Amino acid sequence: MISITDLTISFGSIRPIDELTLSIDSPTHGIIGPNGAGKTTLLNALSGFVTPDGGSIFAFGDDLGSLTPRHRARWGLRRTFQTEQLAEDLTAYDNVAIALDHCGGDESRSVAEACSIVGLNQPDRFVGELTTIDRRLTEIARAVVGAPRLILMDEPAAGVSGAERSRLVELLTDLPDHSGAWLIVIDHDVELISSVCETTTALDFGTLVANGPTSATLADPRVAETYLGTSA
Amino acid sequence: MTSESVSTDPVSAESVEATRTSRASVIGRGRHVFLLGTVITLLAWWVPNYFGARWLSTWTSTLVFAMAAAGIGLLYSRLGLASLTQVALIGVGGWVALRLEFAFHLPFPIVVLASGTITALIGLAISLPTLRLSGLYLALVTLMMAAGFHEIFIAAGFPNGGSGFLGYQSSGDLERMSRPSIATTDPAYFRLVLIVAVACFLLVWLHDSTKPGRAWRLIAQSEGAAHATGINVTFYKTWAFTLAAFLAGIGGAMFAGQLGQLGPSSFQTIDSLLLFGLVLVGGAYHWSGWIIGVIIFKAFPALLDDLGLNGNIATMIAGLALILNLIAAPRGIVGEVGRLIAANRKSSESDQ
Repeated sequence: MISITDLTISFGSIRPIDELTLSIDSPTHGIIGPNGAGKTTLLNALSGFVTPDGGSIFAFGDDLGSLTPRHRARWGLRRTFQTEQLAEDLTAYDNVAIALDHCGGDESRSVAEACSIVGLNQPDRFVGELTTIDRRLTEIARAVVGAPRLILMDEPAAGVSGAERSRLVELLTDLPDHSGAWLIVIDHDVELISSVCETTTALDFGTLVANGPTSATLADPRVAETYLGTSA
Repeated sequence: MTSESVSTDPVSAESVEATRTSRASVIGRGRHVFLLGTVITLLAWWVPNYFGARWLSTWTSTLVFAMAAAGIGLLYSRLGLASLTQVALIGVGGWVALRLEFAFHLPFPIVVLASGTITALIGLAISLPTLRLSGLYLALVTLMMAAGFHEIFIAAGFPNGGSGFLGYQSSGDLERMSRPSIATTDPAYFRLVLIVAVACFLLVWLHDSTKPGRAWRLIAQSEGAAHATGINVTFYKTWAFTLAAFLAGIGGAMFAGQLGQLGPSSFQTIDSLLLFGLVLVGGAYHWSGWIIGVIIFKAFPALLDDLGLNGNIATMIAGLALILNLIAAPRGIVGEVGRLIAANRKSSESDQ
């Protein structure tokens, strides 16, 4: 279980996250909200990229908030980025290996196993030569290798469509079963969230609008109002 | 949820490993090693036999500076860091080697390794505060350091058998650094420097193709992503800088052995800047580009000298080459050649 208590983050006079209290109880959790709702800031706070003004973050009983980004990674926190952050002049295999180099334990999943889980079938190609979907899969394999406990994904399906998108949806839905890690997904794409995530949080202006089973959150009249600007 | 549902074309972990081993075949790698070994052996035999004393000396110092150039190329291509202090660090390595030699008369290999190590420690001390900077600021600070070292060399002089910590004397019996007994002659010393330079490049390759090389590349892409992947960013950046200083230090000791005595004029600030620029011209992203850069740096002025032209023209031409490089060929000469070969291969494939 992941619990966020009274989390506040401010940049100058702006408060992207305002005394947010939230608990995540399912292995596939979505975070939705309009632009500026604080989704990416929340993800960055979980990764340790921004230092909160106050509040705490606990994951499976461990005080994640007290760790540096690097130590969070070693604890088992992984993430993917809105635009893939991969070393272009390395092969996909070597990119995945980086996580194992620094976060590997005794009972780690190997690079080959990680590539197999995500369905990356050309691991020896250089990342610079890969298609968008394969780059995305490489980043996901990097999150899955070793012994991850919590994987954060920032818009994993952006720029992917058609058959590739459904392949990605299937992969993400099954990811907790195959990787043993919990998954938190941020996306504008409500359809993706509702196919992948058991529970979902809706944010607006850094505060909680709704939290619970995905269908309940999406049916919440305040969520519809936030998204569509109409009162239901 | 079964594993079959993961993707439309499931791949097993075994098949992933199988594609890897077949691509990076042992035979392919063996052929490269054989080819490289042959070229190095031919150079070791041919250069001392073909060239006269003056050119042999030029080629020997080319190899010395190649060790430092490897550090420049490594920092720039893997981490995007511009270090403009490598030639000054050759001076530091040379100073330490002379000092150790005259104080303790240690065996040559120990002097070389100790010079490399002490220069690496100095590099480490420099890197801890400076690597917080990046881009232009890092370049400026390292250039100032090169200038600082040059001033120190002028003020302190290079050890030549004098007394005290500095070991410098302006008159009297000037001592010279002795060469190892197996390489007292110039041709033999050239061969020794060639072996040491190859070892330095292998050391870089060893780093580059394993854990540090992978970490460096991700740091260059995004420090945030590197942190999030568990990489100790400060440690790996410092390691690269320290390794570069080690290589320059080894080069400095070999330089001291080549010339016997050293002077501040060999390590001018402009040389650090020029060597950096020429590594970019040669091609910072491949080791062969580092060698081309250093050949332009050392051998080109000597060639102009032979033709009766002023060696300073080399600096002007190098400046022009750098401008051309920045505009038209950011990956340098080697990068352009590689692009042409790739384009050629593609067109011949499409012809078939």
